[in-house]
Amino acid sequence: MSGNENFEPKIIAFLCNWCSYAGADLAGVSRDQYPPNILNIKVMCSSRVSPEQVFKSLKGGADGVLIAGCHPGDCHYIDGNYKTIRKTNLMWRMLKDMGIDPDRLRLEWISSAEGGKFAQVMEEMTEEIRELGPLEFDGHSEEE
Amino acid sequence: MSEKKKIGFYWTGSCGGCQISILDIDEMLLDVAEQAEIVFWPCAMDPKYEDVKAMDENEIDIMFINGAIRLDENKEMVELLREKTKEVVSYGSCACNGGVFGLGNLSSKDELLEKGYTNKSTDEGPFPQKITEVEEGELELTEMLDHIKPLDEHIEVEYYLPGCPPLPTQLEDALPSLLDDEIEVGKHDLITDKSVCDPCPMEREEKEIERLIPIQEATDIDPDECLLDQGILCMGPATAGMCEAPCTEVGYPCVGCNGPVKGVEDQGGRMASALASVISIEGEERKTEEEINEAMESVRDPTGSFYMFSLPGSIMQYRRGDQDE
Repeated sequence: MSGNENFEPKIIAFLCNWCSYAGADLAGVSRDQYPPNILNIKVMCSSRVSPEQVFKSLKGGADGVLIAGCHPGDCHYIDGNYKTIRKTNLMWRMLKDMGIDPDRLRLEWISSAEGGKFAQVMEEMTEEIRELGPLEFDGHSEEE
Repeated sequence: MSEKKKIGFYWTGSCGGCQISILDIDEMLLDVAEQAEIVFWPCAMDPKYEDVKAMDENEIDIMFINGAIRLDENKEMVELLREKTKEVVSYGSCACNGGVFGLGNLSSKDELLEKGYTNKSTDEGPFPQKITEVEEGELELTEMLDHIKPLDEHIEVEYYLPGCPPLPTQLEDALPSLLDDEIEVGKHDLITDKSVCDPCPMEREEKEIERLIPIQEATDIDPDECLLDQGILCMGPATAGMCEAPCTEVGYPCVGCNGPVKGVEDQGGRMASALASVISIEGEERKTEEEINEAMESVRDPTGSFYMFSLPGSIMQYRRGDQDE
C-alpha cells in the first residue's frame, strides 16, 4: 500500500516491568529519539498480556500492538516469556483467521540495557504499520 | 396465583436441538403448564405472523428465543417479539454467543453463498436473491445478513441461558425462578462463574504437555486423568460449567458449548492463555523461537476450536477485510 505518508499510526506497547519498561526508560534518559506514535503500558510480565487485551486494543483504535519482554532465559519469573512466545503464536494465527494482518502484532525482547534497541524497534514498527495503513475496524454492524 | 403467565418459544436459525431440550424436562412440562400458558411455539403449534402482529404490547410474559440471527426475517421476527414480550430469555448458545453457526463469520456472505449454491455437489439452481421476477409478478425471499451477531445485539435481552442445547437440569433450575415474580434473577445469573473444570471428575495434576494430540490419534486415554494433562485439547478451562461436565465424565473433551464463564468476554482468548501455560516444549531454553513456534503447530486450527460456539460473541466477532487472500 502506498499513499500512507500522512497516516500517523497508533501503537499500543505492552512492556514488562523488569526489562522492556526499564529499556524504554533508558531510551528516554539517553535522549534516544523515537516516534511519538507509541502508547506505553507497563505490565508486570509480558506473559500477563492476554489475547483479550490485544484484541481490544486493535478493536478500540490501535493500528498495531507491541509486546516486549525480557530476553528468553532472563525472565524475572523464570519462564514467563516462554509462555508469551506460545501465546503470541496462537494470537498471530487467530488474527490471521480474523482477517487482520499478523504483522500488526509484534513480539520483541528488550532488556533494561537496550535503550537504543527500544528506540530502533519503535521506529521500525511505526514505519511498518504506516506501510500497512490504518486498521479499518468498524467494531459494529455495517448493515444497520 | 391469580393469572397464568404467558410464555412462548421461538427459533431463528437453529438446528432444533433447543426445542427438543424443552421437551427433555419431561413431566416437569406439566408443572409448567399449570403455572403458565404456552401462547406461542411455532415448533409445536401453528401460529402465523399475523397472530403475533395482532398481539398487544407486552402480552407475552416470557419469551425463550433460540437460534442464530442469520436472515433478515429472523431479525424482523425477534424485533416484533420484543415488542410483544415483557422478558426475553436468550436461550441456547446460538442466541447467547452465535453458536456453531457463528463460525460462518470467518467467511464473507458471498463466499458462503457461493460455496453453498455453486458447489459441484449441488444442482445448479438459481442463486438466492431478495427479489425474483416471474411472469405473475415479483417474488420476495428473505435475505442473508452479512454476519451473525448474538441476539442481544439486535434486541434487548433480560436473561441468558447458554448451552448447546441447555441441559434439562439447567432449564429445571431456571424455570421456577423465572416464572415466580417473587424470586429475583439477575441478567447473568443463569451463567456460572465456575469453569467446566470445577465439576469435572477427572484428576488434574496441571502437568505440562509437550504437544497436543488430536483425539482421533490418541491411544490409551486414561479415563481418570485430566484430558489436557494427556495432551488432548479440552475447552474446559475456558467454558462455563453449568452442565456439570457430562462430556468429560465419559472421556470426551469439552468443546466449549456453554460459552465463556460469567464476566468473561472472549472464550477463545482465555483458552489461548490457558493453553500457552500448559504446553511446554522440552529443553525450551535451548530452543529458538522458530522451533517453539513450530511445536505450537500441534494446536490445530486455534480459531475454529477455541471459538466453536462463541465467535460472534467474542471481541473480534467476524473476519475483517484487512487481508486479501
